[in-house]
Amino acid sequence: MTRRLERHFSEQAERRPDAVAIVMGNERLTYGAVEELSSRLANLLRSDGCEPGDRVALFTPKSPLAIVGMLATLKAGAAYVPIDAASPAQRVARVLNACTPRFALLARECASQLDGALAGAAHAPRVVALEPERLRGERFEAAFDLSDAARASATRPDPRGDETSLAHILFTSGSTGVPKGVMIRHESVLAFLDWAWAYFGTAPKERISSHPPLHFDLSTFDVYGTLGAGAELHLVGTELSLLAHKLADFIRRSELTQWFSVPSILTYMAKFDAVKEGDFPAMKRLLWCGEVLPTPTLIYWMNRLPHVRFTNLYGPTEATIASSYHTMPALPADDRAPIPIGLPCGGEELLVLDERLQPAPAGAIADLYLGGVGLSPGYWQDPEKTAAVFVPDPRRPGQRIYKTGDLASVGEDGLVYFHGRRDSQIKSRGYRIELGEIETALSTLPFLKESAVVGVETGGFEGTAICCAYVTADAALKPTRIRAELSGHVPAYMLPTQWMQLDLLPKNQNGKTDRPRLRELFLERASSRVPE
Amino acid sequence: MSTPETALEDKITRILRDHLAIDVPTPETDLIATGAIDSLALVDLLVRIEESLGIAISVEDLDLRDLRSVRTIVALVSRRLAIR
Repeated sequence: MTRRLERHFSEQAERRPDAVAIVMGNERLTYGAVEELSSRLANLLRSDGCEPGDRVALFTPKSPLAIVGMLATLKAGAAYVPIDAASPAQRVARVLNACTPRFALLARECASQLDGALAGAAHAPRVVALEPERLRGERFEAAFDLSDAARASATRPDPRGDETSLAHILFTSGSTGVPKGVMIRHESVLAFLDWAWAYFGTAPKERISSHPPLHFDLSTFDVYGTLGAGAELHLVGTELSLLAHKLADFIRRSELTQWFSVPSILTYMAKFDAVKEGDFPAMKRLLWCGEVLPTPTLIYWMNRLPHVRFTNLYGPTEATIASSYHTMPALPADDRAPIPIGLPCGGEELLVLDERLQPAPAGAIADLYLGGVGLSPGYWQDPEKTAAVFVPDPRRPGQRIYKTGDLASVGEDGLVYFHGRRDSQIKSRGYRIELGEIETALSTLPFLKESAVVGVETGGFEGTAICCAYVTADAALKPTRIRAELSGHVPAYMLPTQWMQLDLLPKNQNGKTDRPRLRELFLERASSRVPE
Repeated sequence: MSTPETALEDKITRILRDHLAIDVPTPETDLIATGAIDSLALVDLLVRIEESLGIAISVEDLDLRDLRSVRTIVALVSRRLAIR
């Protein structure tokens, strides 16, 4: 039988229609209800011309209906493209132009974002409102709403497509300012889930967090890993993460059995000491992925929750969710002990290779390549960028390996260790950011003569701080003005948090911006700053 | 004409501008919904307010609705100042 993500959900829905599938606040949807609603919405899309291979854009905050929309898209045989709610209109317009979705599923909260994006987009999707009424804006009017879906057939549509079909396209920051769409197939997600279900022993009725936003590929583990296992998916809204104690309270009251997030949120909760001794008694496992978890944070959590299993996951979107794992066998020896990214998950390969694509000697730091079942077919309609990083496997003709841009080594223990990036991609609060995207946006601002953006490790919970140095054409210019202008080009999480006006940017011998020197300048200023 | 509230509003608006580089159009602007304030900025903002006003804000009791706008932050700070 063809294996597809929505089929795994539907099987669970047949087995346990009355079990709770999705929880958010006071809202609870059963497996039966999600199955019925997603079938109706899929039938509506199909009756309106949705074809296999079509794209459906999701303009919705995380909500039970957003998940229904994802499943409906897959049932219709199409692939969905989650739109980052924090993304400004211009950037969304580029995504729409790139993936030309036939439909947009729209929640009320995102109506103005869609309107703004349509102003700059050459392509307009048919709008389906995920609301009881037709939403409209200045540049669109919804063709359908939930009342139309309610009149569509509740019978699950015949399956379309197979395991090699695209399930979603996830757009990530691109260094030239154009977001890159990573194409993900059903089979790649399922390969990871097969490993994860067996390794973690995910059981029906478990209560599992869904913390990362839906345009992060980590969210696909939460959603399909939970709904394919008959467990409960507990959605964590963006605002809930703003206050550490409220978030701890949520985990406690929801009696979560699994928590999975980027490390910055764990460090944030540790910083505010929001976790009590022996807290979250129902929790079985805590997982993180997306950036380096500071060892002191891990020690804090492991001391607080001795009953929990702690697992580090590693892997870029291009290799689907995660490619390697390391479960902590014991407390780290001290605050500086590195946490390995570990061993490959089932069917995956981690290769630390030199410039000639030969295995680097043990202990040597070299480029990390990934191979195996998780590899994406590449970037949406961008063969050039795809060919630059998905390269032929020198050992096996016809196979590919993916160059992550990460540096790694194989330790004496046989485990793989992460050693940072080769390029100017950074992680801040778990967001994957190309500093080049911010610099490209800055270069369009007329009042700046020169500017550069560097990532600085400040020791704060955000991971890397985004720091901007700038030179203006004439008088002193407040960063407020630059920040306000820049926010029209990049998402809020890409906005620099540190600013420095200079008369000249420091240059190296080649006449290029001296980035190491700039980083030093920001660090010097941070260490010299006296409390007011 | 300056009431204690408007003086506080000015002060919070200045902290947002000078330390976080955030321009707030009006005291009612929703800082959270507009994405101006995330967890990172929030921590910074609270520390600056504590320093400049000499008060302690206990995070355990904080509610997001206290932090929505300059106006609600002023109300929160006023309550703390009254306790002191």
